Order: sequence, then C-alpha cells, then structure tokens
Amino acid sequence: MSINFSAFEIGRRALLANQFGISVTGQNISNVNTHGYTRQSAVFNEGNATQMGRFAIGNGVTISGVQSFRNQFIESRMQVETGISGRLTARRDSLSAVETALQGTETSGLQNAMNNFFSAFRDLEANPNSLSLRAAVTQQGTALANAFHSTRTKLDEIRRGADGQIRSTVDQVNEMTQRVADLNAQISVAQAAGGDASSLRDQRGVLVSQISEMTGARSVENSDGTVTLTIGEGKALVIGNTAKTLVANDTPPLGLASITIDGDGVKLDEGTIRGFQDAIDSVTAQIDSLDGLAAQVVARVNGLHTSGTDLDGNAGTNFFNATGTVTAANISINAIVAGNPRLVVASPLTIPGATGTVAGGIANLLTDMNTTVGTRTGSFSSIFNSMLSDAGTQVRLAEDDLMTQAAIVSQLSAQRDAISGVSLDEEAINLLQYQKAYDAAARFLKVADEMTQTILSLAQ
Amino acid sequence: MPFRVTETMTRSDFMARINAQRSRLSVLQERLATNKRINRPSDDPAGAEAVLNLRTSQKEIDGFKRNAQAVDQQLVAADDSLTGYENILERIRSLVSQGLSDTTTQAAKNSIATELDALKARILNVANTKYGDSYLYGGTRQNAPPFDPTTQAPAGTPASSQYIQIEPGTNAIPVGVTAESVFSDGASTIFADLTAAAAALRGTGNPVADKAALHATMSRLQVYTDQVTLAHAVVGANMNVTEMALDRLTNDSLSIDGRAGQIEDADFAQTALELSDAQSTLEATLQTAAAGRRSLFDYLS
Repeated sequence: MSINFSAFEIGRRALLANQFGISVTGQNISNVNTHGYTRQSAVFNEGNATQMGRFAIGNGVTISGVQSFRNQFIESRMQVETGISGRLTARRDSLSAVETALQGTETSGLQNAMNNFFSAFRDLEANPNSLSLRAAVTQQGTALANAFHSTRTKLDEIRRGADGQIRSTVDQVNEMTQRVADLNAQISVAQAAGGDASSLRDQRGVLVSQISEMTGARSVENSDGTVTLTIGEGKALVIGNTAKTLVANDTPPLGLASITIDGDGVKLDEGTIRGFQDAIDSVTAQIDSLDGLAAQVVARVNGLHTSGTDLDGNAGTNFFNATGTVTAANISINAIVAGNPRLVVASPLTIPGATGTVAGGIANLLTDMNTTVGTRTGSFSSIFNSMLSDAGTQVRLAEDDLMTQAAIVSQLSAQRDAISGVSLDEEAINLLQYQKAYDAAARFLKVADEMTQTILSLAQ
Repeated sequence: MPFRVTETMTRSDFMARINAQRSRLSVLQERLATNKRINRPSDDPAGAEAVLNLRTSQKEIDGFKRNAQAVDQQLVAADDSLTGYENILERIRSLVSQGLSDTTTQAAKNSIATELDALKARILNVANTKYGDSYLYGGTRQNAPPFDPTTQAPAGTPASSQYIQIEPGTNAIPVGVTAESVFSDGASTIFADLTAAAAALRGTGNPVADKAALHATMSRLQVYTDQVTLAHAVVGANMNVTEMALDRLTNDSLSIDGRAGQIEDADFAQTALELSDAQSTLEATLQTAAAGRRSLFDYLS
C-alpha cells in the first residue's frame, strides 16, 4: 500500500509547488511597474528518490527557493554611469542659467547697455556743446552700472543656488546612506538565517543607485550580503551597518560649501554634487571676468574723462567712482557727474564744448582692442562676447555629453531590464504552466484516491 | 533585439522617444517663431560670438552714421548760409558802386548807407548763426559768439576747425569753416569795413577821402568774396567726403546685416520641412504608444 500513500505525498508536493509558482508569478505581475524590482522565479528540485525493490522512484517535487535575476556587473556599471549623468545634469542646469543671465534680452542685458553707453558718447562727439546729450551719457552710464550689477547678481544667485543644492543633496545622501547601512544589517541577518532578502536587496539597490547619482559612489557587495559604498579617492561612505556622515562646511571667503567626511576633505569624481561644484567653479570664473571687465571699463573711461574738460572749462573728474577695487557689483557713476551733466567731458581743450574728440575717444573704447581682462585681450565688447560664447560652449558641451550619457544609461537600463525586468508574456505562460500543472496534480490525486477506494472496496 | 523585451523597457523606450521628439519639435518651433537658428549662445557658440561682434560693429557704425549725418546737416546749413552771405556781398558791391557814382545824390547815398547798415546786421546774424547748441562758424571756440553782437569786435580766442570722427578706424576730420576765415582776413573784419563805407557814404566832410574810402571798400569786398568762395569750396569738399563716408557706412551696415543674417537666420523652408517631419514622427510614435503592446493575457480567456 506504500505506493498509494506516497502518491498522495507526491500529489501534495506538486500542489504546493505549483501554488508557490503561482504566488511568485503573481508577485512578478504585481510588481511589473515597480521601480528597482527584480524579477523572481520559483526554483523547484526533484524530490529524492526512494528505492522500490530494484527501482528507484522520485518523491515528487520540492521547493528549494526563489531566484532573483540580478547581474552584478550591469548594476555596478549603472552606478558609475548614473553618477556621470548626475554630474552632467547638475552642470547643464546651472550653466544654462549662466548663459541666460549673461545674454539678457535683445533690449536689456549688459551687451546692449555697453553699446548704448559708448554710443551716447559718440553722439556727444558730434554735438559737444549739448547738455541734453550729456544727460543722456550719464543716464546710459547709470544703466551700464545697473546692467553690471544685475548680471553679477544673477550669476551670484546661480552660484548660491548651486551651493544650496549641494547642501540639500548632502542631507539627502546622509539620510540614504543611513538607510543603506540599516538594510545592510537586515540583509546580513536574513542571509545568515538562510532567508530570502530579495525585497530588501531591491530597496537597497534603488537607494544605492540614487546615492551614486548624487555622489558618484561605487558599491562592492561582500560575501555576507552587505555592500560597501566608497566615494572620492576610495573613502568609505557605508561599511557594513555603519554610515559615515558627509558634512558641508562653510568655507571663507564666500561661505560656499566644501565637503568633508570624517573631518577629511573629499573630492568627488562624479555625481550631482560634483556637477554643482563644477558649475560653481565656472560661475566664479565668469564673475571674476565680469569684475575685471567692469574694472577695465572704469579705468579706461576715467582715464580719458579726466584728460579733458567739462562744459564749463574745468578739468574732468572721474566719470565712474574708482575708490577701492572696482567690481561688477560696486561699479557706479560718480554722483557729482550724475547730478550735474555739465561735468561730462567731451573736449580736450579748456574752451568749453569746443570739440568732441575726447567723447569720440571714449566712444572708440568700445571696440578698442587693447583691453586685457584675465586671459582675454580685446575690446570691451569682444571680451564680453567671448565670455558669453564660453558660457554657451560649456552648456553645449554639457548638453552633448548628457545626450551621450543618456544613451549609455538607457542602454544599460535596457540591459538591466532584459535580465531583471518582468515580461507579462512570460508571466502569462508561467501562470498557464503552473495552473495546468496544478490541475494535473489534482487529477493525479483523484486517480490515487480512486485507486485507494478500489483497494479498500476489495477489503469489504 | 538580442535580449528579453520587458514591459518597463518598452515603456521607458516610448518615454525617451516621445521626449526626444517633443524637444526636437520645440527647438524647431522656436527657430520658426524667431526666424533665428541661434537663439542662445549654446545653440552655436562660435556663431553666436561672431553675431554679437557683428552686432557691436553695427551699433558702432550706426553711431558713426549719426555723426556723419549730423556733420552733413551742419555742412548743408553752412553751405546755405554761405550762399546767403555771398548774395549779401553781391548786393553790397552793387550798392557801394552806386555810391561811388558821381550822379548819386547825397540823399540816395544816405539811403544806401542805411541799407548797408541793415545788411551789416544780417551778416552779423549769419556770422553768429547757431546750429543746435553750437556756433556754426565758432569752430573750437564755443563760449562766445564769433563777433560781439553790439561792437562787432571779433572774439578774443581765435578758432580752429572742429574735428569729428565719422568712420571707424580713421582719424577725425575737420568740419566746417571758422568765422576767422570767412568774415575777417586778420587785418580787418567785414563789419569794420562796412561801418567805414557807410560813414563815407554819409559824408565825413572830405569828399575825396570818402571816395578813396569807398574804393578801398570795393577792393576789400573782393578779398571777402574770394574768402567766401574758398570757404564754400572747403564746405563743398567736406560735404563730398562726408557723403562718401555715409555711403560706405550704409554699405558696411548692409553687409554686416547680411553676414549676421547668414550666420544666425534660420533657413525657413528647411526648418518648416523639418518641423512637419518631426510632427509626423511624433504622431506616429504616439499612435504606436496608444496602440500599446498587447500581451498574452489579452488572448487568454
């Protein structure tokens, strides 16, 4: 009679196994849209055989676990590439604002203000006696100073904005690394107990990929199931169940953030934070150039302005204030000149308004190629245009790089999906397969039952 | 595709494609709306820089054009007033020669003298003409009229021509003529000579001396006529130079416009074609996405 009873056992195992298979399939189907979910499949083993006389016969099916489809190589490449992509995105976003700030609009903007200011001196040259043209010169001078201020303020805001982003990103990273450390602890416990930690791993995978995007962190999985995250020059961010805290310190003179971990400075290679740091460097360079340009405008205009005489025949004063270091933030027109346009200089002679050659000379400064600001030599206008073009080039490069990077990431994510993603077709087939097998197992039990009935009826 | 195609992959593929096509569409729409290929420096950094430099040159040329036009108008004004002065000189010559005639009665001479006084006042007006804020014949001396309105004495500081730059990269050119070279010859002024002539006509009690004085006036008038002819020629030449410069500036301005346009303008026909292309591609993608990817579940009952 042992055959019959072992048949019941085989049937029971078959029912259980296929039910289990259906559960796993259900899990896959329900997570078809879950970000970071890794497809699972039930793993069955053939039951150990028992010896029946001369023959060995299997003992049905046993459930040996659930398999998750992960490819560690693709996962770690994803981390590297999303880190790069995070850096480029942050860089592109910050720099495209720089481009807009410098460009202004057709009628506003620094470029236009400079053209108008020097053009006003050109008009004064043709009519060196005019008071109204002098008033126009002072108005355009004020407009130019304002254009410098607002452009610099915009650049400074972009820099502050990037700095603020770094600080909030650091906060997010700290919160996430703590969760990764917690998950590490849970996973190592679950794994030691031989349990299934797939869902914990999925959660950790999502967190790690976000941390990589923000910091360019790399992860290494250890044999106990924990991951070690490192950033910068191999500095540990998470080891086992410990997360190190990133700190954003205020650094003089501007109070911008510098990042330390465990009190050591750390230089990030990739990630959003690095992108913002790069953007801050670019913006700082642009601000320095803008300051230099403002200082040159002031120095050269004042130089000519003090060489001539005003409308009353007195020696010219400074047109722009020139005390201390002139920057784009503090450039301003001399209040005495602004209050009394008669003090605007047009003529080199002591006879008031005799001839407009000094005004003409100032007007010529716009395109005079002998100004040097930083590494750029050219005219006021060409120096500014080259700054603008540099900003454009940086945005262009960041955009091109980002496009390439997006293609790489999407290729990798397709590869990842190909291995780890859920295909509904497959799940439909699995579902059918398990259902049919379940039906068949039930049928098998019925047959075994009937056989048992037959035997029992013999005994009556 | 050499690997498993999963639902997430299909979805993110669609999203990526639709996003890419929409952003392409918006770039093309911007190009069409602004008719510019370069809307921000990053669209073409080198081109944008070239356009900006051209635009500054354009502004500069506009400034020079305004200067040249102002100079031209000032020269036209000088030309007109010199013509007026020439006519007055002509009239004075005929009046003085009438005064020289022995048949002219003293009463007639008196009325000639009165007319000479009136003409002198007109010449003074011409000499002290203001053009805008400046004395037309003031040159570099603009703090006083060329001749004192009451005494007709020439202003103390001698004037020289004003210099104005009317073309980029060139030296400033002298503009107009000064009162010193038109209304006086260093030795005397037209006003002093006319005052003397009027006095001689009214009679100083010495007819011989009066006659000699009027003869002297005639020869002085010749000197002034020569001066004004020369001044007229100078103004004419200046006008020529200015108008040629204006021509060149206008040409430069047009060619700069053309060059900037070549760099930054969108090719309308091509952009429109690309736009309709992008639109149909997007529509096709959307339709495919809407049709969806059916799965085996759709066929299981």
